[in-house]
Amino acid sequence: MNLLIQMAWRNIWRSPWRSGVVIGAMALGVWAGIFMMGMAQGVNRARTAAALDDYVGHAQICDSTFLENQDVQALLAEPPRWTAALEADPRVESWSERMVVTAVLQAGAASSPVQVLAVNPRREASVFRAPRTLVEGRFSDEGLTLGEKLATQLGVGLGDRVVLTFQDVRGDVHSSLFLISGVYDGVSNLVEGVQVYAPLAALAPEVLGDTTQSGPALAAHQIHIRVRNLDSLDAVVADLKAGTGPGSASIRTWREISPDLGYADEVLAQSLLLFMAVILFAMAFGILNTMLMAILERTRELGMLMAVGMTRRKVFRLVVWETLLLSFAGMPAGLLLGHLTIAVTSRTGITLEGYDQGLEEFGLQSTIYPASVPEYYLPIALLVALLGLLSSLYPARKALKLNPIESMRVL
Amino acid sequence: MSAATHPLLRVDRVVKTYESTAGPVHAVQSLSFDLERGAFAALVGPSGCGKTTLLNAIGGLDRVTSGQIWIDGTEITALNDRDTIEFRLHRIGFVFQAYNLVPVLNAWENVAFVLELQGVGMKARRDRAYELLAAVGLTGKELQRPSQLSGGQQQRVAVARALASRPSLILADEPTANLDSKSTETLLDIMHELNRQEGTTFLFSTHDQRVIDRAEQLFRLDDGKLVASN
Repeated sequence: MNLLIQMAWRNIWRSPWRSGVVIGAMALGVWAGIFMMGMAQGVNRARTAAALDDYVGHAQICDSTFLENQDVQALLAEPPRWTAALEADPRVESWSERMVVTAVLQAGAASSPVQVLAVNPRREASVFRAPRTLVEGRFSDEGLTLGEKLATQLGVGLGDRVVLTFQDVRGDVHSSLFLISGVYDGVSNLVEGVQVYAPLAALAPEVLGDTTQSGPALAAHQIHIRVRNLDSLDAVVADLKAGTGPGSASIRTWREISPDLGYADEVLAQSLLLFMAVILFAMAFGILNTMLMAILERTRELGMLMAVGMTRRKVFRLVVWETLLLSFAGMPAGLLLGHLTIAVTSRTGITLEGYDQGLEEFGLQSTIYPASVPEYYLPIALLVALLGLLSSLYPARKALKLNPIESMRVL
Repeated sequence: MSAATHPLLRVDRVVKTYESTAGPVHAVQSLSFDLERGAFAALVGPSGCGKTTLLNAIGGLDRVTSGQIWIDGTEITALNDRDTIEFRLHRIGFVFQAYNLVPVLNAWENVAFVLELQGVGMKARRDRAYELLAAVGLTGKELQRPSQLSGGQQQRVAVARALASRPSLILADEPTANLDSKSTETLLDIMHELNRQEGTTFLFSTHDQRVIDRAEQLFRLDDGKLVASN
């Protein structure tokens, strides 16, 4: 090994306590950063998973015009063509067709605009945790399931009769009488106040304006897909597009359906690195201070090195190496500790007592499962190197300016 | 100046003046002398007479105010900083009063350090270091760090380091000041032997009578001036 690097490494251990404190602080900082990243990543993944389970789904097929205006006429062409392909694909866990209708829900004198999701309850429940939490009744073919907020607003409850008024695909207005069979506690107040589940079998003929037809999957605006393994989603979607030919249909993954979830991943990644950079930046001052003290203490020795023929450039490099090694010494321990902590807590989970309600608002449970973040290890190492290098510049410059004779006079 | 026909060291009308708050300090005043190759010489005189200042100037550690210093045909006073360091690395060895070994390097690494700076390969510098440590009587101490050696042993390592690059001239600034009598005698014996065997030129700055007694050539300084030489 280069003698300069050997000297730099040994110099670090001339003050074991002082260097130990800096190295320990670096290890602690990296550990804390990694663990916080794991926590944040765990929360984000749980939030994304909750969103996918609750209302986004893994993928969706709909007519491309439906994306533009959500018009009741924008029906998906030939739903059975798609459902047959989905049934045949072993990577697909389940699917659920939906009709989405804008309507007015009337209960006595009270009324409210609603978005009706006409679904097959059994299939809907196989794709979504929907409706998320039933407060009363059942999610079934027997009637409407509406949010707690909407029920309170309209002053209705289980077994009450309500009238749903909407326009069918031919532009005719229909009014249908339904019983309230369930009340749910939704993802948010907004959803609870607007979204109503209706039985597809009962509503589809009305929407199509042809009450003589019946049966599932005759018509749908959307088909939602759940895959067994999210990693296979892109391949499943690609195969669907290739196998059936999209026609006027649009097949989108959750990232396209809800780009905000994807953005959250990216924003989180950047925020976490920024967070880590702030921790390391604070550490850099400690390293800089330690190195300045070391240079001050070794002024005489550095003067001697120059006197016997060490160039200023080599003195500069010696100090830079020393600072870099000091910066790097604690990093592996911090990474390892962080990795192990996440490995353990990702199994056991960390329960945040007292935050249950707040977390539930975001569709999260009070137990957080940190996620391992190996993709951050290299950026962290580069950050440590960069900050080590930056914090070495001032002490190295100080060393560079030493005069051999004056330095050797220092006692 | 040709190396073959001229002295190893020529100090020609060297002046070194420091500026201080009390006014200029004339540390060396128009001082001239020659030193032949293979000499074992000493700059002597009371404290503050300019010995160390002159030694530093000869070693290129300090700039002269005026005058010239030639070593082995090279005018060191005309070299720029980079060339001075390069010249020092290859042609001058230093022995300091306070040993000035690198504490984190063991004995052989301290000796080999100068060779490492010269870019000499690992095996060659290890062999040379072990050979020199044997020459100064430190066989078996190669892996000891300075803190594990006595003062006399440390100074012998410093001498070995000074000799490592086979310099033309070794400058030794009060090398015995921190040593007891026995260590001083041992060190002087070693240096004298190396001087005789390898023909290395030694120039001491000292006021130690034991060194003065062993020196073959003396330059007596007083108040920055050369007052006598023999």
